[in-house]
Amino acid sequence: MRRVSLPRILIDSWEELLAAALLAVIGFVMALQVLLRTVFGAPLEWPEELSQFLMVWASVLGAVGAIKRVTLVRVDYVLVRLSPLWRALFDWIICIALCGVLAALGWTGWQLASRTSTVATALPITWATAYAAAPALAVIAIVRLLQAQLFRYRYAFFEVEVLQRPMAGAEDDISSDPVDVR
Amino acid sequence: MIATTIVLLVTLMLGVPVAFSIGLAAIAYFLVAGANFLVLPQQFIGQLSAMPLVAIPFFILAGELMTSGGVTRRIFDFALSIVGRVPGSLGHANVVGNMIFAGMSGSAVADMASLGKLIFKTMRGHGYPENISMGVTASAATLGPIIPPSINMVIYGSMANIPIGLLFLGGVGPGILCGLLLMLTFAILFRIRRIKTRPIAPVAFWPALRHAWWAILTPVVLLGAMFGGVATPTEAAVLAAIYAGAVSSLIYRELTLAKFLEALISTAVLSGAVLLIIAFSAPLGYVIAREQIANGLASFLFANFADPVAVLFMLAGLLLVLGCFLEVATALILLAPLLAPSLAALGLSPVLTGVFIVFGMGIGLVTPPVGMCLYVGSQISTMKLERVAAATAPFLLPLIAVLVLIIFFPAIVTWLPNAVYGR
Repeated sequence: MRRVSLPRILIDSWEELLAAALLAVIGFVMALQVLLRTVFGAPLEWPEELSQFLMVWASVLGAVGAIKRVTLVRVDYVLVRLSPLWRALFDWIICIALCGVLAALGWTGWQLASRTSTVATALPITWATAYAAAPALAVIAIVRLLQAQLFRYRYAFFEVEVLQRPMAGAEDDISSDPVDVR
Repeated sequence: MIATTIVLLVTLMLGVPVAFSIGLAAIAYFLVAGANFLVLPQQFIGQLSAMPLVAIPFFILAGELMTSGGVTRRIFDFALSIVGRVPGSLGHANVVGNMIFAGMSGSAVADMASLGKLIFKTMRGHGYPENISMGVTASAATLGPIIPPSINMVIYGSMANIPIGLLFLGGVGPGILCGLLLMLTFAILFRIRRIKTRPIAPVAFWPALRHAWWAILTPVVLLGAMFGGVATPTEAAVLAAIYAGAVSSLIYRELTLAKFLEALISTAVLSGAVLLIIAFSAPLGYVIAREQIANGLASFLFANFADPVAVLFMLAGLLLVLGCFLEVATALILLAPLLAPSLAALGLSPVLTGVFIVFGMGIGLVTPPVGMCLYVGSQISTMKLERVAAATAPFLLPLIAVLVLIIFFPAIVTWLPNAVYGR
């Protein structure tokens, strides 16, 4: 049974759900392209370019999902050896550093997007559509970072709440149960 | 450039996520050198829109679907049916299973968390000591990024502009050799330590093959589509994911809609994390190009190392040291724009050096303090990290031996690409 409401789950997980949907669209159009090219000898012009645009957005939205789950790769050799007080201080410093990088990327990305008028080769859109992903990433990721750091917010993830997947670290303890699989 | 290096190293050490450490280092350069800041988003987005990188999420998805769809158990049974009668059969099945699974997933961590977990559990259940079980499990998982498909090869190939298909073919020889040497090492340790285990019920070969057949075909479908001219490597990754989904749902009937959605979300998040590093590395690549560091490195190598063997030995040492401290994909992203042009300038084959670098860095998966397979090993076994590292140490020998063998016998890497392309 779900512990939290569906609207809250969707608000907390919309980035990775949209990223997953975009990946599904990329998969579909690329498979369609292979089919049309190899079977019917009539490839389309736009699937590759559409995949590129969607990939940009799927990547930045997926990255926000990784930020929320704190699964970004890091060298935590020093971090895990700190006392709780120092650890808390470092967490704040790291959060500020992340927000700084994102702000720089977002601001320059916004400037680049607003100046770009180059039209895509096969699609009726400009490359500003892709560059706009930079400021979007910055805004969404900063909001999510501050949400977690300032308010200690616990996200209700779709795969945990709706699909009932165990949270990371809560998997079965295999040490207690050596099983003969034969 | 000094400011960039200092910022990169300090922030990495302090635990800033790798992607943002690289971003901070690039920003430090832009500030100090007064470079145009618009290059930052331009390079960032430009990198994400690179077509070869689209393969990454679909290789991840193929692995996730195979794992969710009950393939792991079938591959284990099949591996056991091959080596079930050999003393220490579960250890050998561990290596053989990982070699087969590597042909589907392309990621050592995925191999370790799915197949590795299952086999380790079984080995412990049959009285194999924890140390040798963990050692062979962790080291066999490193075959994931060397036997095609390999996410690390996609990353390196796209960063260094080397055809990914050629890198895939180049990984076959070292992957098989590594597997054989790991089995030999396990057999020697098993004999020396006089390990007594509980017998395991034999698995008949043909029924096991029949059950695992569709899964085993994955790399054939993948490589066949690529080299049969049907699909590009990126499209082949999409086809592999579709094939994995079809086998798991229609043939094995274990992939439900919920599992599929879970795999898709997991893929989006995992690939987002990897691609963020790659995207932030593009501005840093611009810095490396602007400062002509690769040219400087090539000149240094030319001036000091005339012999390719000496260069490769030095490179092997560098890879093994870096592998201890950097996550593999991160190191590849940082090294590719620096090393690929320098080594090509020395006349070394890009495919040879590409596979050499991917394989050499892959050994870092099982070297402390930053060895991802060691962390996963500790997680799945509840053994302390130090114990996992010590258990894996004897199995480093065959991995390093293959690296050295490649230096003296480059054909281990190049024979298959040459045979396929007739060069």
